[in-house]
Amino acid sequence: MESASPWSAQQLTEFLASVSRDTDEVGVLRGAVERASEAFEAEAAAIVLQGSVAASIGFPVDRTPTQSLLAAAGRLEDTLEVPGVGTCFVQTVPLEVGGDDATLVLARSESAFSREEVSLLRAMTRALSLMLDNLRALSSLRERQEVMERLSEIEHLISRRAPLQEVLDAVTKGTAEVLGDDIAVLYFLDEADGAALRATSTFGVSPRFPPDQIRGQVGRGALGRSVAEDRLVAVEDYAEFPDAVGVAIKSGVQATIATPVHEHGQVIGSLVVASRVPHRSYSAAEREVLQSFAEHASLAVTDARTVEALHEAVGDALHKALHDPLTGLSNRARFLDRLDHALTIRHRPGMEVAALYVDIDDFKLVNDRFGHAAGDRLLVEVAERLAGAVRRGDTVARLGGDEFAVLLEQTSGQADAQQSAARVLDTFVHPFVAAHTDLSVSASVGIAVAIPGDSPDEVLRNADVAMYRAKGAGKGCAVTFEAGMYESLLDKIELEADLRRAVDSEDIEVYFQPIVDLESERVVGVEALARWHHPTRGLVPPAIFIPLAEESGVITKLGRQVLFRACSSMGELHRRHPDDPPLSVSVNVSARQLQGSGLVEEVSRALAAGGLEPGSLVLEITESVLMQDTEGTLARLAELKGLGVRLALDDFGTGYSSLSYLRRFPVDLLKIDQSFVSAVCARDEVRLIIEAIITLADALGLQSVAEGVEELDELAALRDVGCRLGQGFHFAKPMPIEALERFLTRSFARSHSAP
Amino acid sequence: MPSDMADLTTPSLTRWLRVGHSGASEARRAGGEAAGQAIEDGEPKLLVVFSTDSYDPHELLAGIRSKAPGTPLIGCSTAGEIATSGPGDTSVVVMAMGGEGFSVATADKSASEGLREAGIAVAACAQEVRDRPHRILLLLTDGLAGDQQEVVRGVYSVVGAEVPLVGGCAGDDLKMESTLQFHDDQVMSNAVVAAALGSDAPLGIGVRHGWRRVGSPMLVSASDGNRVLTLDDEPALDVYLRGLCAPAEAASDPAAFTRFALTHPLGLQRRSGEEVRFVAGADFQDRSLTCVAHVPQGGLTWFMEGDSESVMAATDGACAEAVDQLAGATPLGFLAFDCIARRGVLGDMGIKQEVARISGHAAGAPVAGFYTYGEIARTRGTGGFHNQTLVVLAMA
Repeated sequence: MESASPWSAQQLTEFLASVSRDTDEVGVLRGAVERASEAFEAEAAAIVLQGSVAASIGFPVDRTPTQSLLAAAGRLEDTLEVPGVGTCFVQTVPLEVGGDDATLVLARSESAFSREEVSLLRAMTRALSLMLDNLRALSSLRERQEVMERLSEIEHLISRRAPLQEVLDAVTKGTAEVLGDDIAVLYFLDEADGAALRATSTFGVSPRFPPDQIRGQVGRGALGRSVAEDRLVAVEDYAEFPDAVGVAIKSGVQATIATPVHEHGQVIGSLVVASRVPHRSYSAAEREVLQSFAEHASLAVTDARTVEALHEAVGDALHKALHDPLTGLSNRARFLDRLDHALTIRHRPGMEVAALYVDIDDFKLVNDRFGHAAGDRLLVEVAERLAGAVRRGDTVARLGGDEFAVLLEQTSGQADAQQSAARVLDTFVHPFVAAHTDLSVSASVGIAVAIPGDSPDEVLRNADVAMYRAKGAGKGCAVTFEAGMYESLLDKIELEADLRRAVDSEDIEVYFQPIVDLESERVVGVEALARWHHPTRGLVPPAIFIPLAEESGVITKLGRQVLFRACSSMGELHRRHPDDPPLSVSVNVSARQLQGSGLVEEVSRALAAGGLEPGSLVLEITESVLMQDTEGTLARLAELKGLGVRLALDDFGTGYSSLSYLRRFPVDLLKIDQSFVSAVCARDEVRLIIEAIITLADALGLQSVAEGVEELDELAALRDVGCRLGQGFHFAKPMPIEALERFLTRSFARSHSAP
Repeated sequence: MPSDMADLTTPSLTRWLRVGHSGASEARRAGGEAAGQAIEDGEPKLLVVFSTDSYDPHELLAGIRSKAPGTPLIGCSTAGEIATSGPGDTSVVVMAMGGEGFSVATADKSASEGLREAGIAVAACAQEVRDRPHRILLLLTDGLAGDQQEVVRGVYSVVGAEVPLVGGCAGDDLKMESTLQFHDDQVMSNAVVAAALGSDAPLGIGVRHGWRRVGSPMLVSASDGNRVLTLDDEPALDVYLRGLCAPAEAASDPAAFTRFALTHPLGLQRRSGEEVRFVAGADFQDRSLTCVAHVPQGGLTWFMEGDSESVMAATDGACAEAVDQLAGATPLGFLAFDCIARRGVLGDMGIKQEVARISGHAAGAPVAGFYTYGEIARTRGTGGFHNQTLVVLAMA
C-alpha cells in the first residue's frame, strides 16, 4: 500500500471530523457523500445500499439516476452521465452500513481516480463503516431508550387507572412518534357487528376524519388480516398490495403494518401504523416496537375491563356491607352513618332529627312456634310495611334480630315524631301473613329527638331506652325519650342485677298481709308478698322490683321462693297454733310461672313441704295473664285446680277480659282492684261497679276480696255493697311471719274476747 | 456618468442589460436615479441592486421600485460598489435586465434555521427557469453568519451539478457588524436571496484569486467551525501575527487587525490548489482567528500573499474564463463579485484600474458588482465558496 501523502492524511482527518458531527445515520451518509465529493472534486457521489440509493449528491433532487448508479455500483459501468456536467469517470469503493454491504460511488468529470486517491477512499470508507456501526449501536440504544420511556409512561397511566381513552391515545401517539410514521390508529371490534372494526384512537389523521368514521372490515386489508389471522401483517409497497383498501390508497399510504391487540387473550382489535414515505420498510426492530405498543394497549384494555368488573363487584360488596341481606333495608352501620350525616347537616332551621327504635314484641315466640322461616318472612313483611309508613327521605333500617329503626331526618319536633311512631304502630294492626296463618304481632317503639351535641350512637341509644320503657309499659306502644330515662335505665339494669343476686342468695323476704272478714274483722287468710331490702336503697317497692323480676325472668325463681316460703311459713304457723282456725295463703303467680311447665310440680311440692292442705292455697293470677295464650293457660289452670288449690283473679276490673273468661276459667276468687276501693266513697259509679262485681261473683259462686282498704269509710261502703272480705292498711300492713304470728295471736285473742 | 445603452453590442434584441449608478446623498433619490438609468424605458425582468449600507435601505428601495414597481429585485449591502464607470463607496448600483430571451425567478430565506436549509429553500426557484437551455443561480448571502459553504451544499443538494452557482456575501464597509439583503421590497439580515436566471444564450462564470502560498504549511491542530484555535499547537492568533510580521496595532485593535488580515488570508490545501480563507477577525481573549467558512481541524494551512500584479492577473484570468464560456457570443454585461481583500491589495487607485480592466474584457458591455466578504462560484466539483477571489458572471 502506498503511503498516504500529507494531503490524503489531511483529507481523511477532515472527512472524519466533519462526518462525525452528524448523529443520525441518514445525516452521516449524506455528509459522507458530500465530503467525499468535495475532497476529490467529484461532481457527483452516491451510496448504494441493498439495491437502492441511500444518499446521493450532484443530481437534481427529484431526478436521481438510480439505475445508472446501481449499474456503476455493480461495476457494470465505469462512466456515469451527470446532467450539467456530462460523462464522468466513476470510482466505486465498498462500504459496510450496519452489517449490510454497500458501495460508495464517485463520479468526476475531470479525470479518473489515481491509486493514491483510491487508497484514501478506502481508508475513508473503512472509518465510515466503523462510525456507522457505532452510530447504529448508539441510536438503537437511544431508540430503545425512547421506546422504553414511552412504554413506561403508558404503564404509569395504566397503573394509576387513568381513563382508558387517555391510555389508548398515548399508545397511538407513542407508536407514530417512535416509528416516525405519519399515522397510527387503534381499531377495536365493533360490539354490535363482530365483522366490523372501528377506530378508538387515532394519531396523525386529518381532523376531517373523526375517529367514528374510520372503519375497517375483519379480513380486509392489512388491518383486517391482522385481526382475522391474529398476527402482524406488514405491507411495504402498498400500491402493489392486492388487498389494498381504497381509502388508504387515496390518502397516499405507501406502507403499513398492523398487529393484533388482545383482551384476556382474545383478539379484540389491531394497532396500525401507515407511512406516506415511499420505500418505507419496517425493520425487525420496528416490528417489535409496534408489537410492544400493541401489547400495552392489550394490557390497558384488559386492566380496564378488570377494573370495571371489580367496581361492579365492589359496588355489590359495598351494597352488601350497608344493607341487611334478608329485608334489603339499610343495616345498622348505614343507619348510623345516615344519622350521623343528618346530625351534621341540619337541613333546615326548625327541622329536627329523630330516631324511632322499633322492636317486635315477643318475636321469639313466633320463631319458636312457627319456625325461623316464618320468622324471617314476618321480618320481611314488617320491613315492607315500615318502609311504606315513613316519609320519603326517612330511612328504615333493620338493626338486627327483630329490631328496626327509622330515621326521621326532617321532623318538626317531638309531636311530629310521635305521629310517625303512631303510624309505625298502625302498621302492626293488621295481621301479617306468615306461616300460612294470620300472625298478629305488636311492636314497642322508642322515640328520641336529637338535641345539639348528641352523637348518632347516643340518639339511637336514647330511642332504644325509650323502646325499653315501652316494653315495660305493656308493649305495643310508643314512648318518647326524656332526659334521665337512660340513667334510670342504667339504674334499672343495676337494680335488676342486684335483684338477681338477692334472689340467688335468697335475700328476698316474704311478708304476709292479713285478709280479713269485713264483718267480724277476723283474719281468714294472708297474702304472701315479696319484700326486698336493698343493702343501699332500702326497701324497694314491689311495684318496681316485681315488674323488673318479670321482665328479667327472675320472677320464676322469685315466685318459687315466695311460694315455698309462704307454704312453709304458714304450715309452720299452723302447726304451732293448731287450735287457730286454718288460714288460707295467697301467693301471686306470674305469667312466666304459669307458662313454665314446672309450676304444677312446684305447687305440689310446696304444699307437701309446708304440709298444707291444697285447699288452703290460693294462687293469684292477674287478668292480663289469663288473656295470653288462652288455651295453654286454661290447660295449666285446670292442672292446678286438679291439685286442689284455689285460683284468684287479681286486680280484677283493671284488665280487658270479657266476662266469658270468668265462665271459662276455673277461678274461685276475685280480688277487686285497689283503684276501685279507694274511689268507692268518692264516686257513685264505682260503688255501683263494685256492687255489680260482687253480685256477679256471687252469681258465679266466687268469693270477692277488696284490695287496698285503707279508710274506715271505705270499709263501711264496702260492707254496704255486700263485700265480705278485704285486705289493706286499714287492717294490717304486710309483715314478716314473726310479726304475723304476734298479730294473729292478738287478733284471735280479741276475737275470742268479743261478745 | 453615461448610462450604458443596450443596443451597443447585443446581437439579439430579445435580451437586454443596463447598469445605473448614483452617489446622490439622499437614498430615495439615489435609488430612483440609478434605477432610472438602468431601466430607461424598458420593461425589466430582474433588478440587481448593490448599495452602500449608509443609505436607509427602505428609502433606497422605495426610490428604485418607483421606477419598476412590480419587477423582481434582489440585492445587498456592500463593502464598496462596482459600476462600469468605476468603483464607488456610499453609492448604489442597479443592474436591470429584460427581454424575451431571459426567464427569471427569485427567492429568499432566512438563515436562522441554518444556512444549509436556506440554500435548500432558495434553490427551488431554479426549477422555474428550466425552460431555458442555460441557467445559473445567483446567490447573495449574509457573510457574517456561519459556514457559508453550507449554503452552497444546500443548493447543490437540490439542483445538483446541473445549475452553476454564482454570487457573493454582502458587506458592511468592513464594520463586520451586520449586512443587508434585499428581495423585492423586503430588507433582511442573516438571509439568503437568490435569482434564478435562465437564458437562451450561454452564461459564463470565471473564478480566479491571485494569491499564492508562502512559507511552510501549518497544521490546524485545533479548530471549531469557522474559528481557528491553534496552529501547530500554539494559539492561532499569535502564530499568525508573528509569522506575518504584523504591525503592533493589529495585535490589539480589531479595526487594525481587520485591515491587516484583509490582505493576509489563509490557504487550505485542496486536491487541486488551495482554498483561500479570509481571516475576518480575531478574538484577542482566546487568541483565535475567525474566518468566514469552516476550517477543518487536522488540515494543513499556509499563509497566502498577493500583490497588485497577481491580483490583476487574476482579474484577467477570471474575465477571460467567463467570456470563454460564452462560446463566441458577445457579452451583454458582467456581474463582478470581488473580494474586499483584493481591494485591500490594490488600493483605491488599483481598483479603478481593475474595474477598467473588467470593462475592457466586457468590450464595452455594462458591469455591475460589489466588493464582497466572500464569493460564490460553483462550476466544477462541489466546492463553491471562495475567498480573496474574483468571480465574474458573463451574460450574453
